Amino acid sequence: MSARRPALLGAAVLALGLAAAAPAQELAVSAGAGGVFPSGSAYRQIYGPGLVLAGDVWLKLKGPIGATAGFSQLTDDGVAEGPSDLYPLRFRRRTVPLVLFYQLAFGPVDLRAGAGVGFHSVRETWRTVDLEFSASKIAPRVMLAVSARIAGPLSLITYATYDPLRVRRDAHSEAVDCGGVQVFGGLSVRIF
Amino acid sequence: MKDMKTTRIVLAVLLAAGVLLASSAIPRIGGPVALIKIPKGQGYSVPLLIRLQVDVRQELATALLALADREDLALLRNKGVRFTVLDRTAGRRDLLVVGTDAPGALAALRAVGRAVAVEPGTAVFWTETGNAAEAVPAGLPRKAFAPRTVVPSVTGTSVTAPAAAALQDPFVETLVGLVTTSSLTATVQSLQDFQTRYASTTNCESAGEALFATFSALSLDEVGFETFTFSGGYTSRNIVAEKTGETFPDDIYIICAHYDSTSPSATRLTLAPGADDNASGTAAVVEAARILAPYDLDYTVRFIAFSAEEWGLWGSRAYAAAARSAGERIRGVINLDMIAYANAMPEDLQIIVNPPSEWMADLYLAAAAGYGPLGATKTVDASFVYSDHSPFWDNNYPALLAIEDEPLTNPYYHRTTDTLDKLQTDFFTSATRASLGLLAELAQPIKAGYPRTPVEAMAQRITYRSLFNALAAVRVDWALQTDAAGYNVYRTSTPHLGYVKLNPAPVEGNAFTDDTVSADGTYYYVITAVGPTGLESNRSEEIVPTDAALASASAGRGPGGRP
Repeated sequence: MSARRPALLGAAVLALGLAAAAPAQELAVSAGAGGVFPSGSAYRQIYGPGLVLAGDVWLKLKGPIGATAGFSQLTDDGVAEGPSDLYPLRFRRRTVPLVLFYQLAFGPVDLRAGAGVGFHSVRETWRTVDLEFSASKIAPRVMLAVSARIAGPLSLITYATYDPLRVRRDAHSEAVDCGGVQVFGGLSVRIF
Repeated sequence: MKDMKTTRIVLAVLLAAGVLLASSAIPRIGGPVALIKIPKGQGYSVPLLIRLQVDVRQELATALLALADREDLALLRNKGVRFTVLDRTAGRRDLLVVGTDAPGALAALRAVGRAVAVEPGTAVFWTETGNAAEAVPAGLPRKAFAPRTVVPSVTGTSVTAPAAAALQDPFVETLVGLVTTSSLTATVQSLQDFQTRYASTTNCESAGEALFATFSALSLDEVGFETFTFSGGYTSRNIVAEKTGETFPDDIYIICAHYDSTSPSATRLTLAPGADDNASGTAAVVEAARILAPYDLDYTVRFIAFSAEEWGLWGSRAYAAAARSAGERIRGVINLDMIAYANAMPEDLQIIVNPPSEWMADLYLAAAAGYGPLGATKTVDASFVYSDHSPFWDNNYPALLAIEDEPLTNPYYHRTTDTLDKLQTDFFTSATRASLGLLAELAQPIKAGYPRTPVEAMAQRITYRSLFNALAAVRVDWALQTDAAGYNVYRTSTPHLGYVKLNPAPVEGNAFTDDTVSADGTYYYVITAVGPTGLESNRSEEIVPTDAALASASAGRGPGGRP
């Protein structure tokens, strides 16, 4: 139930924003890569920083309001280590974000600050043993983005997000912090 | 004049500083120490009580009795632990727990001192002056408060039916077959012949000397008196005989019984035959010593006859406290108290333990089924404290009480009519066989021609953790020995019982990895040596895995794998 609440809230905020600001003024797509800096110490110990690939759609509505949605995937390798054995691990997190942002324009540079939700799917696999865990979770997301037009419809874009993503194995176990800060850089192409 | 004034000021400042320093060096005095009752089952945890340093001195069935100063009381209130103050100045008194099941017992206690009913059948008793133990009316079981803080279990009483499979070691069966009714009854008769063994009498002293002589006539390693003072000015003696273990000499099992007796106050100085209470238990201890004396054992066994039990467990209190102070590794105590009266046949023996000693009761039930044969019932009840097992509980040693009935049904209990002719000898013999069977299973007689018992056994739990899963293994190591062709490794999840062999064929080296454990399970391991002809040794010490130093995970490593 707790995961549904922010999702509903995010969807409601987005719907209100769209209703207030329609019609759209600008549509762009971006692709980029970046690093994740995990906030959980257990995650850091096992996997450390990881590489994330992302693609997003940016919709600028009437006025300073806009919305963005997309997809990102983090894949990271780690090892469970003991005195004599090593067990290789793989962690994968897929995220579909939905964020409402406020945009300030400074000439060719746009600054966007926003908040929304991320629909996360996490899976951890022991690669040599039959052990696996997977779960889905909705968590809030905050975002700060800067884009700078370079030529025609092309822009350089960089943005940072923070996802406080805590996942429990079951009702009795402690929550594991799988979230953190992600910093992306990439190219954006304006469609209209 | 000015100089004098300056000197006075300096002196005054120095004096004030001295007073401040001295007052800070004085230990905290929390005012009068109260006796409080903390009901069980109100949601607090044992770790909370330990963290608050609550001075629990007695666990009862429904409550804990503790001593607490004003600061402790405030802390308890602050943490929401409910309690009742029973007496505001209890800290200076000798406090006794007294069983008050008998009709009129509470009134009888209140006639001679202060008594507060703390739960059905139990009162705390003290006197403003004089000796509280002596003031307790005859026939009422009593026990002094523990001399130090005890670790409570905060669990209720539970009774379970016997469930363990019967133990049937052929060598132990041979040993228990040596128990004879005639030998048992002869010992009871000889103790009864002292007329009284009330602990303050010379007759009791003579009975102790006779037991000393009996133990000395056996080929034991040590026999001695241990003198203690009790109830103010009296002295009495425990008799302690030892068969020192060959493999684990510092690990000790005890079989014990009290040899003193009592009867109503008008007769106890002259006539207290105490055949059932407790010449029966003492005779069983003597019989165990007689049978085990010729054999080498892996573990040390002490055969102890305690005195002044009837005065409030004085002999066993002195012994258990001294053992704890000396850091002795007492692995288990079998206390036999009234094991020969049967109100109806077949009679069940009651085995009473506290939660940490429950494994002993389970093992006793298995021994009773296999070696008695005898029906036995386990009762887990930390509040049953009226015999010599209780001071061992107070000192965190595992101990059991074997007793014919609880509540007692013997109509001759603490009377001048408690004599040999009232005993049921078949039941008595079976109870002795069961007790000896348990002791032999624990102490492990060394059999000629068999490999030696493995030593230096160790076990390490290795846990590999990811974010959401854990994988565990236990590595067991032991010392190689020349008389072994291989080794077997056994595991159980309940101490001392239900071992399952893990290796299909004997292990040739001195290590074994058990990768069939769960990360959060509790396991116990033993190892046996297998000789060239297939004979299997006694079990090693039971070992509980310790956590390995490293059980973590690391980032960014390349793929590895299980070897």
